[in-house]
Amino acid sequence: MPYNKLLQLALVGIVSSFSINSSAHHAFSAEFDANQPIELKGVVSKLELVNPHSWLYFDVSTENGEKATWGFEFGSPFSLKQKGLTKSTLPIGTEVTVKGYRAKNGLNFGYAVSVTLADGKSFVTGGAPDAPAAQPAPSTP
Amino acid sequence: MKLKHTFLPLVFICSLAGCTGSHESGPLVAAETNTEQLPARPTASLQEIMLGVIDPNVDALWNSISTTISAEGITEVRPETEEDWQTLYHHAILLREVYNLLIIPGRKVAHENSSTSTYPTELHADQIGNLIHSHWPDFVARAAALHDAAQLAVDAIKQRNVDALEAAGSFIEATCEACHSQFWYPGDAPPGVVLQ
Repeated sequence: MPYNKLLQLALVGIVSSFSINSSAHHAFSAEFDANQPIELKGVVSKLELVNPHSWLYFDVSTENGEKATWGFEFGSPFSLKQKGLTKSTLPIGTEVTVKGYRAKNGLNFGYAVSVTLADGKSFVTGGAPDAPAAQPAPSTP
Repeated sequence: MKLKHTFLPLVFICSLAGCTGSHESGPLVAAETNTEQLPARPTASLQEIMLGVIDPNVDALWNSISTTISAEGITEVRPETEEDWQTLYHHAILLREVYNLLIIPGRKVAHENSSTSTYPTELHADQIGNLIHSHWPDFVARAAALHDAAQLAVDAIKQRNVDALEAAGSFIEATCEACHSQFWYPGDAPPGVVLQ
């Protein structure tokens, strides 16, 4: 197997495992940088719909013609579903444009604010503080 | 009176925790006890409750349902067997009951030498404690919201309803975030997000 392919697979593995490590609750600015907005266009390689946060991975073509895999945090599956985004929306190979904020660790991760498909359809994806619209009212103790 | 003997330990435990009534055993307890006079012993810190009680129980609920789409295909994780559902039920009722642990007054936020501020935006234990003390009714309401969201999970599990359990997981996450945003890292949010 060519070296570049091996490297690519290793990077995908590292990127894919990030969401597990970052599942613990922390402040937004603990992991992401509000001063580093980012917009990337790529092709979906993996989608994980799971509470509390879903993750989208997609391959972005770099200037030297290679692929870089990026992972972006999305909202919970239910909150995404409320916005019309389900597993059938983002099959492997789907072209997407993702807007959001870069991770502070400098690696290929980010917090997604929106995802736009090739046909122009756009979804606000939200994230950690993106409470579901139909949150039950707290009871009075 | 076998039934009465079965319930006595539950009544005792629930009384210690300051139980004020729930869908399943509330009236039995509330009518007999005065929660203000109970000798509660809040030994564990709030941080320990988070890490030792809330996290493992909520993680089990969250991780019980997932859909992963990759080049290898679609992998769906769902509770399937009766044992799966029973295990989830136990996690859900423990998470729901955490409300009572949270509202016992006098609990430390963290023990000495334990940090709650892994990142600069997260407050230190004494700061969190001051916020909780000065906004106690809010804190109790946040804890009650967790109870109610966990109740949604309990209901979904009783109905063996995967979609409802997934939605409950989302509500639980929202209640966690709402409380953390007020007491752990106030004011911290992605740009454009209005905290509630």
